[in-house]
Amino acid sequence: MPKHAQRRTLLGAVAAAPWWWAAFVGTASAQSSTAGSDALDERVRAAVLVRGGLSLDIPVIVETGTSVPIVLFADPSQLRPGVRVTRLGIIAPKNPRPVALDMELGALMSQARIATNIRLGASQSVTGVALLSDGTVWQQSIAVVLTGSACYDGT
Amino acid sequence: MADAVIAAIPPGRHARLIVPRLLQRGEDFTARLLIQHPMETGFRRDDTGKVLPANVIENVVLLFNDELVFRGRVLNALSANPSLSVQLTAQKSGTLSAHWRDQMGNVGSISTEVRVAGA
Repeated sequence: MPKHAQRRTLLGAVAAAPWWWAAFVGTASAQSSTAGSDALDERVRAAVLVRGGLSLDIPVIVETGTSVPIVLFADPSQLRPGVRVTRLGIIAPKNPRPVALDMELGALMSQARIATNIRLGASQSVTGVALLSDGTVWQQSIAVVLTGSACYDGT
Repeated sequence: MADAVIAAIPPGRHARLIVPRLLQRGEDFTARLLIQHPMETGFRRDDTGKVLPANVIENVVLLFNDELVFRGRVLNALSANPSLSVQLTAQKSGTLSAHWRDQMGNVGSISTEVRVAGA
């Protein structure tokens, strides 16, 4: 195989599943010990990431990263009938621990909406992730500019 | 004296679970969980340069009448004294309860009554 073809396949694979995806799915299988590495690989490969109906509400300029309000909301009108949101997560790529938040939603929630405050270590593009029960993944990113980090507390 | 008393209380003991006082059946409402916890990341140092040991809430679960509302798998980047708000529908009266555990093994829980008029 010529070298450029190999590179193209590699780039294709990267485009299909972003770098943080394995870490995000991995947190699930690490806790439910039944899922083996084969199952994990399969889920990483099978993931189709689209913008979908996920909205991420976070200020674009933040004074301090110690407490940044964020709202994750999956628009129910974008869901096909019988499909529900099973997990909501936040990826902050430049935080020391990039998987910032991962929440499993029960059937009791009337809307797939979570409001909370997170810490940010640097200016970065914050990504929200929603996993649907049919295997689809919605993602949405917003670039956040930070003037003070949560990691270095004046020391 | 007061400082010593406060320091002796393990983190994650004080919490609030806020719901509206009385709901109509079918009404959408917000349940807000607040936990008093430092959520120490392990990346900060104290005044003497000593690393403050990491201690974040690892697990949190919110239940309504023992049915799952949400389960937090990873809460790495929640701010100190985290707050989590979710939307629920008032179908029947019952008990909303939250339970959590941090990396140092401190556990906490709180529950509150959800009152739905005539149900």
